[in-house]
Amino acid sequence: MTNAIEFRGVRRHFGQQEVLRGLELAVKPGEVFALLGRNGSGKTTALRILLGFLKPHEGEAFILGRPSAALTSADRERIGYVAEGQHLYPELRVCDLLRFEAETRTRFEPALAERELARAGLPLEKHVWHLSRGQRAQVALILVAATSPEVLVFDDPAMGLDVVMRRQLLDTLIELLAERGCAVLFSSHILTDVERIADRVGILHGGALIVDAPLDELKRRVQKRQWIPRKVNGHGAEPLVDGLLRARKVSEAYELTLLDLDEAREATLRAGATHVSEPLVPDLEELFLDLTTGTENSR
Amino acid sequence: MNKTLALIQKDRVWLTIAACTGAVACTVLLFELRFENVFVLPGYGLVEGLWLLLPLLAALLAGFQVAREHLSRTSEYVRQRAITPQHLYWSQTVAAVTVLLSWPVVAVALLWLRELVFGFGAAGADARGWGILAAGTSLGLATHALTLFVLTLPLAWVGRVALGILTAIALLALQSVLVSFEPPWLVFALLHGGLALALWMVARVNSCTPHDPDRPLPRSLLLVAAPLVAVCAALFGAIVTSSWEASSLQRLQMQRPWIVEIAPDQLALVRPVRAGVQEILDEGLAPTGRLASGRSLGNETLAPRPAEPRFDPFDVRSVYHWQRNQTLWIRGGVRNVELTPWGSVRIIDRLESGRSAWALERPGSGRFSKRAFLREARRFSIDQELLFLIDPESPGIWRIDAETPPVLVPLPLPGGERPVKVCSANLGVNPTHTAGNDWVDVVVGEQHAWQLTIDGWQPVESSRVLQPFTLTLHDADPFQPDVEVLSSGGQRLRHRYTLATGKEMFLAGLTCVGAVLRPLPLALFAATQDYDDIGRSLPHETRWLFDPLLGGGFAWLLAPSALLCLLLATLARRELRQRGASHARANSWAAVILVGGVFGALVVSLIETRRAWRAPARSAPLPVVIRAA
Amino acid sequence: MLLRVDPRSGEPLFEQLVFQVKRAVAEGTLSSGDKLPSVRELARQLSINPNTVVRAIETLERDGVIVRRQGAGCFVSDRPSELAAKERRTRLERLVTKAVTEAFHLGFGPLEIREAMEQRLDALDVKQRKTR
Repeated sequence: MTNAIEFRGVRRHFGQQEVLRGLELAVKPGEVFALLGRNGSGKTTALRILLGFLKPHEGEAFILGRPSAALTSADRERIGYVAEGQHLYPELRVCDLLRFEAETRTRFEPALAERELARAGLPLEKHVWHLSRGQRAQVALILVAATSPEVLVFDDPAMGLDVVMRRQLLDTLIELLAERGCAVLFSSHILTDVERIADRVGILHGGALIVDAPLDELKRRVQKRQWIPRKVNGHGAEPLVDGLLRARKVSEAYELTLLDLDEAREATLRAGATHVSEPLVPDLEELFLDLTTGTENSR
Repeated sequence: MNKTLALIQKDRVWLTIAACTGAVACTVLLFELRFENVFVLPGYGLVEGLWLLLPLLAALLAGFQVAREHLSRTSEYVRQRAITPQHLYWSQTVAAVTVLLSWPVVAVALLWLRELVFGFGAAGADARGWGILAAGTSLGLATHALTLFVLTLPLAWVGRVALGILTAIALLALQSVLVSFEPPWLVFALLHGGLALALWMVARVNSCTPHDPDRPLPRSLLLVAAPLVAVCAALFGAIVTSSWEASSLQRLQMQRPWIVEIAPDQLALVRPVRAGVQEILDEGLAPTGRLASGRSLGNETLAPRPAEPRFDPFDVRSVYHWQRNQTLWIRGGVRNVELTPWGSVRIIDRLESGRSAWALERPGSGRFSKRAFLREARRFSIDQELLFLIDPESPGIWRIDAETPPVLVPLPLPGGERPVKVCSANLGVNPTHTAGNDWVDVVVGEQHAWQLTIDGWQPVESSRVLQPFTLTLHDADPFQPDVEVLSSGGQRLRHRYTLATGKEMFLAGLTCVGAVLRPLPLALFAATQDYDDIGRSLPHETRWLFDPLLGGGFAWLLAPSALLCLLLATLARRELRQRGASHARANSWAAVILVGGVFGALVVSLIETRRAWRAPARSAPLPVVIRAA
Repeated sequence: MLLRVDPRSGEPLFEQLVFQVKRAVAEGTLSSGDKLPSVRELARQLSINPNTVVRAIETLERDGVIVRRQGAGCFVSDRPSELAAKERRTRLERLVTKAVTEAFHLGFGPLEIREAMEQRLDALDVKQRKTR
């Protein structure tokens, strides 16, 4: 089965700044993929390349098996895309938007959209400029969902939304997923939402994915330990073990983030320490921080 | 079709606002221009007013069309559906054009309604008025298309603005040539409509090619852009170099000593030393130490130095005579007489009892030439005024008086003389006039001078006619002309100007630079045309096509000009090849530079930016930490 | 039945869900033959990805906790777990080993550990729910 979304060695630069350096990414049909990264890490660039709004300098992106650069309008109809900021025409009413969608998208089901809008408590007669950011994001998502997309690409849906709005948006998205089960690629930096709905997580850092794994596997393989080194000639040893992702020194002790710690590695770790704490599974936020900040990154 | 309607419908708020604003502006303008300008007899006011307002509004509309999706940040939202970029572009353009066309139509309809109720209705409506409206509207359409083309160019903003100015000036230059041949309005409207259509097509290609500063212009666009840009750069270059040369030549002429009449029947070369004081020079241009007061010399005694245009300002064919609008006092009101740009005489009487209007054609041939002009005859009583109309092309003189309905009475000079000059004559105090207006316009024929009176042409003593100097150019060299001045008293002074001072040489050098920078094809053309002959025969607006140096004995300047073009083209070609451009691309830009010269090179540098070709050094991505199937 | 998941916990969401259902069955909140909410309802109620719910339900079905009836939904099973006795024994041993080891490292003696286990078993009321 072909992937719903695929990036093959995509490179793109802006001026002298390399934004994507050979991005490789694949989303299987029905999978929810969260693309994480700090601001300016190239998430929006990657999504715009995927939708064919921007051309990569090297490599190619595919969506529903079609190269992004050659998407026809028939292809576009099978893809739901909500761009960053979820901008809609501010001077139109929600019902005008519905009519516009119905005329310009053949797969659009007005009845479905109306039902969803009513369920979310969004009034049809309101102008878009009177909607809050969260409501706007919801409307944008409902409009896209009503076309029964085979792939949904959502650029930073949670940006600037408060907890309640985020939860409402999340509900709408879950509803969509439960009903249709389409492949989803969304970028975000609100990590609790990601942990709720993502099947797979990719962390975009330095122009490529440094992490690309199912969320469960990530939680199974990564652990944190406190490590107090044994003193040798008054100097504490350095924590040296395979699979060390990050070591952060807190006074005498080290806080280690470790990958795939097996018994052999654990023995090595215990050999150099006066104390090794029980394992702690980091949440996504901690893992994200450990991988994208600081200089102590090492393999 | 539904999609198109939906696309237009979503913009209905803005389209309605635009339609209303423009219609109101047009109505106010046409109303201010008076009814007869629009319906009965079209006048200059209509042309000028409409031609300023419509393009301005059209440009704003095009600007809004381009900015529309960017302003609401919905470019990607609108694209992500079953609509091709072409469909989107044409829907928007059709909507904008409909709005644009509605402006004059609504304005005219409103005014017409008003006149049906309050004025003299549709009586006397002149088809030419509709022609001008159509031409003005076509100009609006062309401006819309041009603005759209410019704003959608996939270049950085500085490039769009620069190329926009260049294209607009090139088109204005072409338009000035077109207008100087006095085409019928329909031709004008069709040409501009065609231009608009062509530009809309190019703008479509543009708007389907999003701007990407980190990529060279796509090949599809290059095929359209390169020839267009080459032509525009060449035309723009010709205009710029032509005005450059004209201004430096004029400054050079201002540096030269003047030939003046320092005493009755005595001519001499003088040079101004300070305000109002002239220093008299000898024949070798050395100061004689004698000074003359500028005021005592008077303006009239200044001999015309060989300046632009190189013909006698008193000649009937001179542009200085282009007075085409005169008002006569008639019993109970005023009569406005105007020579229209399309060669008829338009007469509007504004009387207390009402308005009437007429259009008179030239008896016989139908049209007056663009050089025809009006002059006032001496006034004899307050309600007996006379005008005469001279057409120097296929010469003829007509009289216009207060008679109703007005007629053009042919009034040839006695003895079949041909009018040669129009001068002033001092005929003493005019009994019906206040002081200070003793001067009367007289027509100088081949033998005699004549003034127009109620009874027809009366001879004027030649001593009373201000006879200006006659200037003969023995050698029309632009820098070192050999001139001979003949005063009315029969005194002669012949002098060959030289580049005497450093400043004169510098200005001559500047002029040469202008000629060298002139785009090559136009320089070649200018070199084949004798500038002096052209100056006498062609309308002033086409002068930029010709070159005073290349067409005046300095054709050798073509050699450095060609060398410069070759050098620039070679350099640009090499640079582009080094950056990684294909042979075809590098060659076509080199061809653009050969056609447009320095201006072509400027345009190429705006389009093929360094950034578009330069990729940063490739670096490997950070190592993957976790990857799982 | 109140189900809750903690997305920030280190335990995968589907395992949390599986465990919660198992506990509800063990505690008697869910008895055999009870109908489980649909995937969609569960996803909406917990605000989690429906895929995760599907996975949890598949696991529960495989473990014999629930049975799926075509077109009707999922029901708590009235049969014992279909896992092989050996497998079940291994798992139990692993769980107990882990609990005892951890408790030992926490400094508890065998008596205290046994006492805690007994208490836990009483709370679950295993005797009453004993299946065989």
